[in-house]
Amino acid sequence: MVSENDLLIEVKDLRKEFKVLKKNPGLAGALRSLFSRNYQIIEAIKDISFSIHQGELVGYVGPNGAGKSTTIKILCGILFPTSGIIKVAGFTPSIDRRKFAMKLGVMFGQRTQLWWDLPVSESFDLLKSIYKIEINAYRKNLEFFNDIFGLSEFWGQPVRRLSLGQRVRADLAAALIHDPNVLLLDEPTIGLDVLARSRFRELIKMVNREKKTTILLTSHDLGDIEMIVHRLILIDKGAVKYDGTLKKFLKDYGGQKNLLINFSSPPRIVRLPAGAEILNLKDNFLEIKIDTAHISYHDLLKVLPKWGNVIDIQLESDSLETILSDLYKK
Amino acid sequence: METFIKWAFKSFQRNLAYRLEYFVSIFNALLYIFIFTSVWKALFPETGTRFGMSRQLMINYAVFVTLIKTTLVKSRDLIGERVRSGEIALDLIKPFPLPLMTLADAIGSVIFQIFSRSIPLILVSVLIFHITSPAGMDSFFFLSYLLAFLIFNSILFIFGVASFYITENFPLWLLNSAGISLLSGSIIPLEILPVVVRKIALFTPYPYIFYIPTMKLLRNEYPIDYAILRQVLCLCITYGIGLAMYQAGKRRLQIQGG
Repeated sequence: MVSENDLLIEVKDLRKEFKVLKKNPGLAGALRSLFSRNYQIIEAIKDISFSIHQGELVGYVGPNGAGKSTTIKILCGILFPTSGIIKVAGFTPSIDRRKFAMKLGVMFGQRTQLWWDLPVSESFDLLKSIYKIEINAYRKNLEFFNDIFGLSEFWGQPVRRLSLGQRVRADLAAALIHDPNVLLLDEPTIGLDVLARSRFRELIKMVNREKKTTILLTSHDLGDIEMIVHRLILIDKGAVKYDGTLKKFLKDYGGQKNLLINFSSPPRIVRLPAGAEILNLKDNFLEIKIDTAHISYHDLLKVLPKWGNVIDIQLESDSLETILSDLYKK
Repeated sequence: METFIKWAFKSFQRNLAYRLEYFVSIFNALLYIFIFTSVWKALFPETGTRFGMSRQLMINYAVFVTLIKTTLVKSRDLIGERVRSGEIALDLIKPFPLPLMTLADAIGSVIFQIFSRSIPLILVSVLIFHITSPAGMDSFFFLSYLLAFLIFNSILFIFGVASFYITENFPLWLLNSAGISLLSGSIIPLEILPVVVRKIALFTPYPYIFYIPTMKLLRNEYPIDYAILRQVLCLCITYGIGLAMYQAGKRRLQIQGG
């Protein structure tokens, strides 16, 4: 059970506007804009509210331009909100930024906080001073992260010589070395290959389990979300569209499933029930898309023997990617 | 303080990382000394003075101003580059203020330049240009040099933080370079500039970076106490402007990238 005392991130009626230059088209427009500049207000975040409790692992998803990264930057305290209330670990990030920084770990997938030209060890040595980490705690954490991230493999190498996978592991350890209460991950697996991505997902889950770190993750790789998080916040056009468990989301929105049926001889389809649609029929194989809002599996299974002798049935559910891509299109 | 010293030390280490850059910059500085000493040799008579300066004084000026410039000038706009790439986000999330970060970075870089570049340049200058120990090498010079470093760093901070407002601050960076070239005495001593330009120059921070420490080094009788007072005033103004721009700019900053 979670209590109000466990509340770690609280976002209420968050709004963020950007003033951007409106470019006039063509050469004449470009020349005109030298002397007369028109600005327009872009509403990156319209109205976002959510709260996250201690130890939660939350996926924050949405299409490009939905406002995910803007929210992360506001939660870090590096962007100022236009209006709304934001509390993270008891601090208002944009106001108490330096004090709050001690409680926060951040990783931006395409950027590194490590010193590019120096060995990995030097960056960690500097982080130890920046975050004023007590020597025993530093050694203990380093040992922990070395065990799970394998830092010793590349500890003495300059960051510019690391592979992307190694760099991401080092960056993740760097974001966690001071034992932050909150870890914000913005597209952390971008550019990683399948193996490195899978390892990264395991590491995140392990950190959440072992250190009880609260993690908010944004990723366009929905595999990350499916494999890592328990709770999903879906935003679109700067507003929250869904906030709840991943399981419930898949159940509520993933209504369409495909059935792959193998008959002993070509099936004779007498009457197709409402909510079922034939996707493919070849020899003994039949692929049907079913909408569970209109027909249950039970009813469909009762119909199948009338079409022929069923040998095998396979069920393919909509992936999170398919569900979200359908939702984004709406 | 520990973080500040460590940061400066890392900056020093980073400067050691690239050998080619190190040798090219020494060669570059030697080339500058050679060009300017040749120009002054051609323009100044062997005996007598022009604009109150002798040929040897001008040669010495060219050598020492280039030495000071080599130690202070940075070709990188650290803040501007990081704003354009969005990496400034990673600096701002740290519990260590950006102005101190840039200062520590600059100190590490200057210490590296002093020890690694100045010594070979001084040796070559003694052998080729017959430079002798300057008359004004005393504690006032070192104080003036320290203030020059801080003023220069404050100016770079102002131009860097300008990128919080306009993102693409390259034109301002060019303007700063032009200001340094014309008004700081890094190429032409202020005595040789037209009176109007000289008067304008004294209302800008530039002469307090290169001209004043170099003149103190070369002319023991230079009124350094008054010059140091002006350097302190200049530092207060540039530092104040930089800090105010930084505080206000944080609210305007738009971090690039998703």
